[in-house]
Amino acid sequence: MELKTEVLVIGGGVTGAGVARDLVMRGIDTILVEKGDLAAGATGRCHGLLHSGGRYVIKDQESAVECIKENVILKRIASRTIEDTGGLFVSLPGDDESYADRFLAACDAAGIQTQVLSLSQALRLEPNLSREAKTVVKVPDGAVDPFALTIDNARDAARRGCRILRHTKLVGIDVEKGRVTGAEVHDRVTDERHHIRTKRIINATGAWAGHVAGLAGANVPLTLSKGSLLIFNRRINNTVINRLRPPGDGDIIVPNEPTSIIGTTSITVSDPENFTVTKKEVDLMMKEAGLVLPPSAEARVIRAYAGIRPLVAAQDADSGRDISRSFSILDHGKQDGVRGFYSIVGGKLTTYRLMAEKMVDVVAEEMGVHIPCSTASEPLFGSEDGEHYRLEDRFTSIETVEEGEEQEGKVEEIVCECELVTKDEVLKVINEMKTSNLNDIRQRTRVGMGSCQGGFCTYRLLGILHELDMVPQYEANEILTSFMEERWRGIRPVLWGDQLREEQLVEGIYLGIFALDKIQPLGKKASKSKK
Amino acid sequence: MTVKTDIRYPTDQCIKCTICVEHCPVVKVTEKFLGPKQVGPDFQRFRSEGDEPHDASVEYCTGCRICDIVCPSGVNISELNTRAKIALRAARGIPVRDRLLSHAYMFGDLASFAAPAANAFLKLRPFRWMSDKILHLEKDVKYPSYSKQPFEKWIRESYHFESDKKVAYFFGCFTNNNDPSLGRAVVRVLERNGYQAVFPKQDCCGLPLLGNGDVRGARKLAKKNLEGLLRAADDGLDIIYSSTSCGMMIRDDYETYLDLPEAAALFDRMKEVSEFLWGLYEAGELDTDFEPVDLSIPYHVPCHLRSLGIGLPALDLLGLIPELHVEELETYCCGLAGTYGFKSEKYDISLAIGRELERELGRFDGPYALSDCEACRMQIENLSSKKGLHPIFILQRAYGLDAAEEEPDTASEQR
Ligand SMILES: Cc1cc2nc3c(=O)[nH]c(=O)nc-3n(C[C@H](O)[C@H](O)[C@H](O)COP(=O)(O)OP(=O)(O)OC[C@H]3O[C@@H](n4cnc5c(N)ncnc54)[C@H](O)[C@@H]3O)c2cc1C
Ligand code: SF4
Ligand code: SF4
Ligand code: SF4
Repeated sequence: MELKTEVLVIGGGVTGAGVARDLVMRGIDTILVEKGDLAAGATGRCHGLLHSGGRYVIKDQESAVECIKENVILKRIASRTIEDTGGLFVSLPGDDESYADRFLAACDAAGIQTQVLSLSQALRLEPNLSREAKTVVKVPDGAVDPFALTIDNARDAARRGCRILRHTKLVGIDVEKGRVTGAEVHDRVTDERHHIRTKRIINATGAWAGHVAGLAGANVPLTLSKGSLLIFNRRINNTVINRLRPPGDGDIIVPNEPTSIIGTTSITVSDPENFTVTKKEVDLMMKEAGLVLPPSAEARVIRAYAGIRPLVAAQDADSGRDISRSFSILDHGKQDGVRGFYSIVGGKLTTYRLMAEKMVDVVAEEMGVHIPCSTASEPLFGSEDGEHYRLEDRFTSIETVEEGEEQEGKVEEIVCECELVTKDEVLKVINEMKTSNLNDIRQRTRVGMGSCQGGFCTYRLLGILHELDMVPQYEANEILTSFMEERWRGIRPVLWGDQLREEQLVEGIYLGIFALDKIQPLGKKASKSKK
Repeated sequence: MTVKTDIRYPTDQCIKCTICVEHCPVVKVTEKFLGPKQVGPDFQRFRSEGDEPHDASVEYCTGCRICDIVCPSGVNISELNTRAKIALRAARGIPVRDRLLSHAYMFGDLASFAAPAANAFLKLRPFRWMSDKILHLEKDVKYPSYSKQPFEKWIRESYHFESDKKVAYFFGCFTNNNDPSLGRAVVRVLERNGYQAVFPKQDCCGLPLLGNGDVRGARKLAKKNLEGLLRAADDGLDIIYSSTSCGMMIRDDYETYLDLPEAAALFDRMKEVSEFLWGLYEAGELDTDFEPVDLSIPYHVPCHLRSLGIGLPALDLLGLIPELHVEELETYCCGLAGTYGFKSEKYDISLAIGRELERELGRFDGPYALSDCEACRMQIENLSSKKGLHPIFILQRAYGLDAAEEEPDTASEQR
């Protein structure tokens, strides 16, 4: 198949989705390709902190200012995906107390509102906080659902005409006479190749940016840094907890849906796909969490995961000068002699919108498009009412039982009990996406992301797909085992206590009842031959 | 020995094994209830303090606590449910009907004063209509009838036994107002074994209030009761109770729900009446001079007896009586569950839960069925033509002590 577009965006992380939306909002014809599902890269593996800027305020004022500005904007335009938790910066005995004074002054300068709390005020907000806490400062941090944010951007872009090709990998870039003329993509579901005619490609592939640039004969010098995180089974904190000290490992704990997430570490790796979370990292984070929120020391951890930060080696070409060092926009025309090819790497989830704006400014100028960016004022589809996400809202989707005369209470059928995901929600995703990919369904519903990590609901999901005639028998086992394997990968580093007991049960079902280890993988060959 | 647990983070402990769901009597019969695991540890991850709870389905939990007993992880599920109910009631208010039901102890005093009139009134059409239409009380259920001579009056006027061996008796408001013959049977059996019952100052234990979400009301009653009970404990007395629910409330719930840590001092003192008597037997001190009782009687184990974690002492005791054949029924919750079965929206559920008990009871010809809990006995009478008896009555008969006693007061009388 031959497609045509004005701009091709590579990478369906938050950056790519944000860029695509900005492009179509300026009337530019756009295609977005993503080799996996949306938010499959760093975006879906990040901490989910909507930075207030506090974390950067001392070392990098510019980033801090960006963060607080974007924080305010996102709370308005992407309200649905943000829980307005607020955040605390907390110092403990042994921390340098002069840091607190510098912190407060720097926040003032950056425009970040602060409020110093007494210990009892802080404990009211955060009952699990250490009684040893010295200085506690409240800031406007928030928690953002990175999947939802990315999906909402993509959906909004799609409504405005952007074509989004998921599970489609960019495999080649055509360059003629120093100018991009098209690209080769591979649809991994149908195993087909498509050619896309285009004069402009924006490379938003994060940790893969160097690899993708290589396809065009261009260069993005990257250092990959792994950041590992642990997910607790429940909320240990209601507000974001940061340590009030120079940023270090494992010193941020973010409430996320019914869980709390602690992170991160920073370890250089070579491969953006194959990495593990080490015991040392796990131990370190458990220790750090225990210091600031003592009950977390005994709390159940359900999963460990890691994301890869692409760190751009200092650039010198006259690109990205005017832009903060926290992210880089590379114009490969100027840099490597490949016109029409741009890379945007680094930055933060919090600043994705700003990054997209700057990126699209460059491309729009080159195209002679003078429509200004409007993403800072126009809410995302679904966030028009400005209402923030609230955890208890999940109840509303499942319960229709009401007190009163008419007891016609009907309770929705629940597929994932840990995360309160109803069959209706799952069906909606399956129908909209036409997908039988359990991971796609998971990212959009949170199915399998709770305490049992899919140990129970996976089988139900498969049952639903089967009912819909969406899985040929010979594929069912593979779908099942690969989903469970993926979940298992995240549980392995945290096998102790209650999660170990859970895993024993899940394993008992997997091995003892269904004997899934005995199943011969049929592999792609079998499925292809039947198609 | 007990299932009392100290779990701060029940959601962490749950491994989703679903055993509790398998055993919950309510889930079996209605889709309106999402089940112990869902409304318990699962929902707990989504409940945040200070916001109005949305999880109305928890209202359908009968509070039988079977889930607590079967959970292999020791999750205190029913506690989560009760706390959620309390929060829900705090946010939405307690309906008049539920206030009325949970204050039965109050009009108990009045009603016994004018018992025939009260009983007649409960039977009257206008009351039936009003209770159905306005209060959403179930009109087909039997309401307990009030006795003319409350147990307390009988104590004052007719109880004279004295002994150095003493035991404190918490008889509870139901025995006092609706089933004083049980109280009389208990003190006679004690008397036969040389024990004098003393009666600490007492009021309703507060369980119905707690069950309907009125923590403040329950706490007020509890504090009154604690005064007398703690004094008895200080005097070194065992405190017996003949209502498993009263016992559970005082022994476990005062501390758990009502923020009354001093109640912990009662824990080792509180003894279910059969448990106490069986203790005497084990010490070789029980008078075992029983006359044969030629009966074959089904025995329904009350949920709250199970949840006390003291075994089935009544069965052990009755096993000592010649010719008596008592069969333990394989039933769980009877479905009445305190005030639950009186509410019209729950009546069908209550009956459906009771089906199993009804079927089981049908296997027996005799006129009686046994259970240590007054609600179970009422339900037995709702579901069958059998009279529900507390096991102590059989003991009383085996001691030949019932000759003087008129037929026991029925748990309930009219339709
Ligand atoms: C551990 C960690 C914690 C973080 N925590 C926070 C935080 O709390 N707050 C915050 O604001 N920021 C945080 N960040 C930063 C934030 O995650 C990133 O800035 C943001 O997610 C980057 O998004 P992206 O779209 O640029 O990259 P990615 O999300 O990695 O997206 C790149 C996409 O490109 C796709 N791709 C790659 N190659 C190809 C190809 N050949 N063809 C098609 N598609 C391809 C990938 O599949 C991937 O989906 C964190 C980062 C890490 C690593
Ligand atoms: S207390 Fe009884 S009714 Fe309530 S959830 Fe537990 S088993 Fe079910
Ligand atoms: S029985 Fe206990 S561990 Fe099992 S699902 Fe119920 S609460 Fe969880
Ligand atoms: S549990 Fe006992 S004291 Fe409480 S209401 Fe029932 S009978 Fe009365």
